[in-house]
Amino acid sequence: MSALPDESAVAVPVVELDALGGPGGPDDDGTGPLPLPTVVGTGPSCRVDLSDEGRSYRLVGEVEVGLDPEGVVVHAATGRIYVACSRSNAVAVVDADELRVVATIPVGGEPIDIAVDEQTGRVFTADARSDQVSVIDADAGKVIATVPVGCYPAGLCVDVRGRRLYSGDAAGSTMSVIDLDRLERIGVVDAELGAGAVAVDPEAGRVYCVNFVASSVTVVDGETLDVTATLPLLAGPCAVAVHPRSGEIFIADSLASTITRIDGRSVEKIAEMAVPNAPVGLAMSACGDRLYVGNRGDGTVSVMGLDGAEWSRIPVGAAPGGVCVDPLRPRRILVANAGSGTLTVAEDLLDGPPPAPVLPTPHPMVGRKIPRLTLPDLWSRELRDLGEWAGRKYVINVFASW
Amino acid sequence: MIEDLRRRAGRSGLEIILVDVWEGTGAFKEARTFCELWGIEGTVLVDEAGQLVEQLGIRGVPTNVLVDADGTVKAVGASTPRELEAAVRELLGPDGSLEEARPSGDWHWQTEAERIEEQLSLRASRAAE
Repeated sequence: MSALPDESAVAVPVVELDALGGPGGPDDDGTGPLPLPTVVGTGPSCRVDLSDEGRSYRLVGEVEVGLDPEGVVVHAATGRIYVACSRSNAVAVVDADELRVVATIPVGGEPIDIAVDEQTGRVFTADARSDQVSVIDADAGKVIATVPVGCYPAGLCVDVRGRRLYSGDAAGSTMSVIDLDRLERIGVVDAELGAGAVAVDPEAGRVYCVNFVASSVTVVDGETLDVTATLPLLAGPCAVAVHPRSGEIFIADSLASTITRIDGRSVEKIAEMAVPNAPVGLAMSACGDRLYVGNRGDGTVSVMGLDGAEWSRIPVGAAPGGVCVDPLRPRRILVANAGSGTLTVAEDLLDGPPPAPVLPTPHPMVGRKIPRLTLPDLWSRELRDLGEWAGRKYVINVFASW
Repeated sequence: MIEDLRRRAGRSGLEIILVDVWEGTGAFKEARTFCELWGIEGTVLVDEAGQLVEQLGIRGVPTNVLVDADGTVKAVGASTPRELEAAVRELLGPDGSLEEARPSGDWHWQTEAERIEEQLSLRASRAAE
């Protein structure tokens, strides 16, 4: 097991949910608002373990970046962090040392994903509602070109060696191939409905495009652009990572709450590994020994061994999406939180698998009374009180449209 | 998935309430578009200020909150079809009834995919015009 580079760690205070007045606590009558630790945030179904002995991560900071941030990338040459804020129609540029937004760059409609070409210093956004890719010159800090792609581009991947940019076009069921230097679309590959996240295995010369609605992955020969295989997946795949040495593929199935591990050569499933809730972000660690999984339904990032063991669960902002590893600080992970409109910066402090696994615990709200709330009805606009459903059994499904 | 459950739960007396959160901008428009895309016809409330998620300590979507007849929260999370099915059956108890899922599985994802394909194809053709 490779060790991550050592960085200084800062002690973080222990935060125990019970000590904060959770269920069964001394002051709990089961009716009041739910007290939660505001310093570190909490995942709803995970143990918040920040003790010195068991310390597995450090929260460095959380930065407000814009509305519905979905994608995040680091421009290694400058160290700056670029965050695609889809509902702001803009990219937030964050200084990685000061952890503050230093610029906001308008792009097209609903930029969902973001990628960088270190060779030219260009940053690309998949502008879903504009059916285009915006090209940002990182030095100039502005859009210098746009490239038309298929309908509703939702995922990007830069192949530096092959000098290509790939775009998964969700509503068009295609993968666009763009020449990185000429900034022209040079090919279109038939994928399947919901084409989005793309990953490249440069050693094997293969490109993988995952299809959210069709629940599949399309395997493409990077040279000929022929589709060589299509593999069905569980449900709602929306992120993909390739292991840099083994060529294994890891895909986040958001609606099944699993990570599917696939042999890249045979295109056969090796394992389906459970994660907490609605994984939509996925990144491979710098040394390739673990995955970082953004759990949109849980407000956490799982640090996961390649065998599916959950090493650690890091509470981040609300409804996390894109996750990436800072190439300049390999312990540092960056998380775009769509719900809270923030970027979480955290450090993974584990050198390898921990002695004890992550322990699931009940959500602190379980056993408590539902609060009285009045909210407008979408269809009638009339205010409705949750008390309207008193005396009946019901399910509240909390959702967002993004 | 949740709309499928609403239809199957008709006789059990179980109510399904959807609450839209964290839209950032244009919440009613975005929620309406989403519901049309996914064929959602039941009760949908819009929580623009995030009151519900704050009071319940919810940190992600989708999240299901199962509430008993006396107002007690019985489960939080249960986001996959299998988890939700199990949690609902436990909430309803032995006297509750829930229509069986279709033979293809506990959630007819393929049917959903076909319907979404129609919607997205329509959108793509409109964009091309």
